[in-house]
Amino acid sequence: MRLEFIVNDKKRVLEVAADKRLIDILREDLGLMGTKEGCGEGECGACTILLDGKAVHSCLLVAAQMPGRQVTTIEGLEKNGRLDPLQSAFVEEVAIQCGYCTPGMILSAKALLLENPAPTETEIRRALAGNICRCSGYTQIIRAVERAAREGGADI
Amino acid sequence: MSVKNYAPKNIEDLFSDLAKMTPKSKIIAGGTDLNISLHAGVVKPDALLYVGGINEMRQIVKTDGKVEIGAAATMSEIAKSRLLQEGLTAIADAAADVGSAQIRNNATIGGSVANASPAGDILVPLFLLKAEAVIANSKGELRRVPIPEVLLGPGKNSLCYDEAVIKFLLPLALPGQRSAFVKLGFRKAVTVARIGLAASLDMTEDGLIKAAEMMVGAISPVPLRIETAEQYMLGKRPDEIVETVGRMLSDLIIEKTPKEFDRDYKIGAACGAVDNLLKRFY
Repeated sequence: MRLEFIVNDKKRVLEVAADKRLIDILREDLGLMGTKEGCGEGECGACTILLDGKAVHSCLLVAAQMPGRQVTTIEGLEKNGRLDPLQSAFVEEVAIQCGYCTPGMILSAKALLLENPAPTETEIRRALAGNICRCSGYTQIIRAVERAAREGGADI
Repeated sequence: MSVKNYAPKNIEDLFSDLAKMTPKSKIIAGGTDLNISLHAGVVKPDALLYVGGINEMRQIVKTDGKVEIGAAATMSEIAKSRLLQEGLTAIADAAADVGSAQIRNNATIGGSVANASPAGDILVPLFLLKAEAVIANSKGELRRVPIPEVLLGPGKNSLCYDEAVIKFLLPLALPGQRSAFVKLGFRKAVTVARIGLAASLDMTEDGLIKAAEMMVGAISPVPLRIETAEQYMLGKRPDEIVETVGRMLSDLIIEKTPKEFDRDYKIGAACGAVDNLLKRFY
């Protein structure tokens, strides 16, 4: 099928199979390797992207669902050579160890801050409940999201 | 062979696209269940009909005596709807409890019914609140079917391959009526229901139950009414019936739940689930 959609603010037109998964389109057809596959069944959150501004699993979408929609991946957060406040806060707070869960974690947090710029810790934990980290633990991650919310201002 | 795809933008086009379906075709909305089977190769459709682009199927609106929930409305949209409060709260509660934020943003109510998981959270309030499904077919017809006739058992629905649920109709609750849903799982969030419990209660001004309906999910192939409890509650306060209603639920689990479906855990947890539910009413 012909797939026309927006990825990181850029229009993309591709010829793909209707049942090809979004994560595979992003990684194989568009070379956007920042999106990671963990479980492949919507349990781990590593493949989280923004679809029309909302956090969803890119492993649970296929091309047939994508025409006309807007996708943001981790590569799309940096603006004019500057990291998103969430990306900076993850670095500053050392909220990363192996980094595999980080893109998904940051995009779930981004979706939260887009809807709720000043979340409580409970709201952060709930928003990230679908993102599993098996090495650094969650304390630094929560701290990073709180910091981005506090210091990010208009950049969020 | 490549998979055909159809993406109607309105109900008229849906009718004509349904006419192109074969027994091997699949209707897709959020795809949170279907895409796992597709990727695993368990399901090999000849065509995918994506219904998420039909505006009418995404809306939640109030009409004459009813609230209509589009079959492609997501769990997030249902959880946030201002129309699903008071008597219809149970359905918003259940939607808010499904999976993770990522799943709730994508999974739809129609998909949940079509997928017919015994642990489907949203199915319990759909039964409780006497929802009807409006089903479209390839001949351009619409019919209304009570939810128990749509949902037949684990993974089984009564829809023909050229049919699609377009919306659900919920009768408006009576003034004073309230409902709630609670779920018991192995963790607080992102968990599969081991017990899903919903009640709709009508109470007098001094807090006595004058009408009650109660439904339990995840203990049997489809949600079950707890009729003994509905009778027993009448004329009593929610806070004084927890233990007895809890016992009635564990009796039902002993009767209905096969051992390999965490039966022993569920028997022990029944009273706590009832306590969580009834606390919502006082």
